[in-house]
Amino acid sequence: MLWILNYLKKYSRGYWIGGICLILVNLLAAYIPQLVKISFDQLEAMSDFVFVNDINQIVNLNESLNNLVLWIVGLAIIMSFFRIGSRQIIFGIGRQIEVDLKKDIFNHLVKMEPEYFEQRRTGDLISIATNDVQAIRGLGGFAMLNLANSILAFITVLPLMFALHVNLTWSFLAIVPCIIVLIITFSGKIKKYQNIVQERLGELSGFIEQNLSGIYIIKSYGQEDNEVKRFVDRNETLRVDYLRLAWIRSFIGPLMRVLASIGFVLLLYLGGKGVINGSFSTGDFAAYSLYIQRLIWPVTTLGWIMTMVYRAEVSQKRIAKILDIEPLIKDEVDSISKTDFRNSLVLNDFAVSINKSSTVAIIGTIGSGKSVLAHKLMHLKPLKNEEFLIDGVDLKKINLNDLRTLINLVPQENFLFSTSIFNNISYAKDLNKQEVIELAKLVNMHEEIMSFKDGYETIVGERGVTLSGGQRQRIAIARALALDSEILILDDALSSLDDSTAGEILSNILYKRKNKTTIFITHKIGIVEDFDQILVMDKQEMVEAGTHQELLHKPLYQQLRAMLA
Amino acid sequence: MNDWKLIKLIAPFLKPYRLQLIVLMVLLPLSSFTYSMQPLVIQKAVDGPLANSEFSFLWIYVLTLGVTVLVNFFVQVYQMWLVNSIGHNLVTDLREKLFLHLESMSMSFFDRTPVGKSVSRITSDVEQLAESFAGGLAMVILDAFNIAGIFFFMFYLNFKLSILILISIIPIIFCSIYFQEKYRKANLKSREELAKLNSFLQQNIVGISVVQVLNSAKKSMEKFSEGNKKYFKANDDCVKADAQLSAIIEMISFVVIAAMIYFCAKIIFDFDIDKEHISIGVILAFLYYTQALFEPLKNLTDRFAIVQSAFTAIERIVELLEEESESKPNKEGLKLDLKSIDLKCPIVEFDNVWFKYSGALDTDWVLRGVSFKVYPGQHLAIVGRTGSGKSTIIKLLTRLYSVNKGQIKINGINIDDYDVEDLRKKIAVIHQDSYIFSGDLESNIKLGRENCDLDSPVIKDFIQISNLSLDQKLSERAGNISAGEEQLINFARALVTNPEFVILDEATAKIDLRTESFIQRILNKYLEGRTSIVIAHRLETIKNSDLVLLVENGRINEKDSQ
Repeated sequence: MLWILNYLKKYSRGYWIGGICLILVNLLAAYIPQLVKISFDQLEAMSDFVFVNDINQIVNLNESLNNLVLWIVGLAIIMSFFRIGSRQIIFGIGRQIEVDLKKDIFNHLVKMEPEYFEQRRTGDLISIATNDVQAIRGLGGFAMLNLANSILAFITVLPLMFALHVNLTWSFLAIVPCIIVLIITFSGKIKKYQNIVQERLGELSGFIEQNLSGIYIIKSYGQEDNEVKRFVDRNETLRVDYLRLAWIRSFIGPLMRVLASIGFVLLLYLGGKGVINGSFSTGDFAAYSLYIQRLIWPVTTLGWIMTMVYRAEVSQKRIAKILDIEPLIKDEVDSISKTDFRNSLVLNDFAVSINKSSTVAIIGTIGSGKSVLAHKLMHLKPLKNEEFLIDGVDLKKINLNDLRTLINLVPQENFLFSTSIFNNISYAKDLNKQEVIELAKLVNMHEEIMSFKDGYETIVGERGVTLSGGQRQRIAIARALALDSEILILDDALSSLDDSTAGEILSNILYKRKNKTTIFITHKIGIVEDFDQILVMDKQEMVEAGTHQELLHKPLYQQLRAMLA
Repeated sequence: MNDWKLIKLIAPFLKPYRLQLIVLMVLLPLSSFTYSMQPLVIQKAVDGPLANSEFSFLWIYVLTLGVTVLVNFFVQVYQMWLVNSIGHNLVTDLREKLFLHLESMSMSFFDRTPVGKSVSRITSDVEQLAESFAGGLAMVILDAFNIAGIFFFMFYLNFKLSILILISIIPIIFCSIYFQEKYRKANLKSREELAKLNSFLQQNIVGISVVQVLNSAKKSMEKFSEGNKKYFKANDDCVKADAQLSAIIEMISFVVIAAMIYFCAKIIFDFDIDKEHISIGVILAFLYYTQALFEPLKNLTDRFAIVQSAFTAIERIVELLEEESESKPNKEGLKLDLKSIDLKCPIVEFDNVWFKYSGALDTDWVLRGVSFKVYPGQHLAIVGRTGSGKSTIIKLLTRLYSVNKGQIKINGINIDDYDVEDLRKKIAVIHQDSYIFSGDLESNIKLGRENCDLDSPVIKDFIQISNLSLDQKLSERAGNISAGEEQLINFARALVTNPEFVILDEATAKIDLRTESFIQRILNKYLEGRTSIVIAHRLETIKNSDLVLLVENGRINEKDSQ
């Protein structure tokens, strides 16, 4: 829990100022009922004087009452300013902490390698960055303020209550712990069932999302009935969980109100006895009622604060679990800067050298390690020393920013962001309209984009229109082309297109990149015959390498080409 | 749509719970009465035994108050339970209905509706409705009854004071509504910014490889920081509005007490024998009543906003429910029997078929008068460029879409007369895109079907090529297997039921040519004596076809019998 305190410590000055405001609020809030008490006693007296028709006394009392009314209003207004101050400052700190934590978590996550995310569910990470961070915000804002407020309320109000009626106050205090315990128990249970419900809801929406994303397959195989059955099972479990939560929840509101009600029963009995024997005035009765009401909120929140602290404790562990794991791949102290590509890229394991401004095709059987090679060249996977050399410099040693400026990759899984086509193409580099259109033309996408109703402003991705695999691939290529890096790797990036369209786009790409190096991983052997180098992979090995002519008599290349004939 | 129409549409879902609703209605006056009666009991005690120093009668009032408190507590708990349980039962039913409805939609619906939108209809909108029902609608009704009870007793105790308080409360209501509205808007804005921030975070996690391979981590951090600042700004406004609102509410509760004291003093000061007397007990009761009046006022706009958002949620849900499945698949239709068919009758016949996707322009026909016939046992190949309409022919043949003009006959009978689910089970399509469900390989191949034969030689062959084992765990979106392996799973999926009619829709695009040649050998053996349609853009895959169609711009430009 300690590391979280560092986030809070930054704002200790704010906590002090907020705390002073709170003290003033509580003093005023405890004082105003005293004025009400005097008013009630004077009203009673005035009422008595009316019967004896003592005009002088009536006029005096009326004047005094009018003054009291002005005092109450005036103090209430002053109090509200301090109230605003305390809440604004302390809740503001909570929000500030939330923003600080969010930023740290995000900046940490984008540095992690893709494998890290394969082992974790996206939903879980989001939930930590949102719900758990909010729990910490609750601790730094709501819990801090209300804890201070509750303590101050008790400190300021209890002495005055004792001054009014000692026995009554003791008996009232006796029921307070019972209510606090009940509220803690119930809100603990609510939290528990709420988590179960949240989890089930998450599972259910995951199920629905999977179902809808695969609806084409489900419909093609007539699987709707089976899916409905699976859905109903989950939905019914959720119903049971929800009803259990609802039952416990039904107690909370009435429980909060019952404390005041029991207080009033006690007040009527003990206070009533006091009025009868003359030790307790009607004004005392009124003031005591206000004090009881005043303590309901602090008592209730004490229960909540306990559950919030417990929750923050769990949450800080979950957040720490994210922040504590260092990225597997990061810049070491001895990392080298390298911003140009002059001669060659050497793949030491395969004894292959790729020259600047050349075109290289990588082909091979499925699962032969082509994509792994691409990821290694991006240093997305751990590398051996000197596994790759750029102009003689160990690729592993180059700092990540420089390396990933030199080399870019269009991955096989063509992920697009949920934003406009324009924003997707200009994602990595800010481009103007003209530049975006040129890139789209280069990948034969311009006319298709213009046929959409919103053109380049069409929203794509999860929340937008569904694009075909080929359309997504082409936009992903355009996005990478914008960077114009020294080395560009295209990992099967044209697989969803027919050979002649793919060939056209490929020659566009190569023309634009004629002074740059392009590595093209593909199954379309027919369109890479005039590449400078063709590398053939099988079972994580590079088995054949050379130009098309040189490879023509090599066994695997022949086999892979066999069906082309 | 107006609100009444929406209520009418949603009302049938309440029908199974009418008994609970009736009980709820009966309990409403009881809980309101036991709640608003409490100050009256105190007033009677103060003006009775306390004023007259009759100690022996005090216990009657104390007992009455205690019983009222207890009854009120239990009635309230039960009331809340009814409200919550009706709400959750209602939305569970609604969720099921929505899912059933979604599953029956035609493909064109899924083409134009993003997955995220449908998911949020059936999850967050439905949740919103449950929340609104319990926290909004029901609470507004409960509050209304409580306020009615309070006013009833106030006017019963002192008419003039009640009128004065009523009048002075009006500007206070407006003032509190103003601040509540301000807070609600700020809160809404802050939640919007948070949603934006979360979606950005989620996108960057899902697309982390893109972020890193395009060296955009720094750019992403800057963007996130920007969004975070906006979120903080919205939050800050929200905190300010919240602070103002709670301070104002607290202040008002004291101001109302002050106003009441002022009015009481005035009434007593103006006392005239003819007018009603105001006792100290009544003044005390009014102190309680004015405080109690403020309870519901504190949440007034919140609750109305919740009710309003319930209507938005209902509107969205109803919009989805009213969306009809355009193709109206015929579930009671004919069953296709491929085992006993007339060899002279074409098993598939396209007769001048025209088709465009719904919402497309009139000029954007995907198919413009396609006609062809396939006889049982024949192998048809369809070739053409990307976007020429090849795949659309297959989608029409499996009734994922319906033709606009012309007709498709299967075994001599119009395709619309068949039971669509049965038809899809009999015609096995091997798709280009695949979808992996989380689970093991076996369940991904079986997909819950019963007539699966995992031991058939063709399935064994495919599993062998893929190098996967049947109990291999596969994750959603197939992070742990290669694109080529996914396509092999597609083959196994389609062939595991031993279909007589097989369609391959560019099924080997992500597979290398050597593996493809293995597949070709397996398929040639399997397809002997069966009917097949192959869509390809590689000419080599169509060598064994009896008939080749070249599709260009939605027309068949060449038919070539080999």
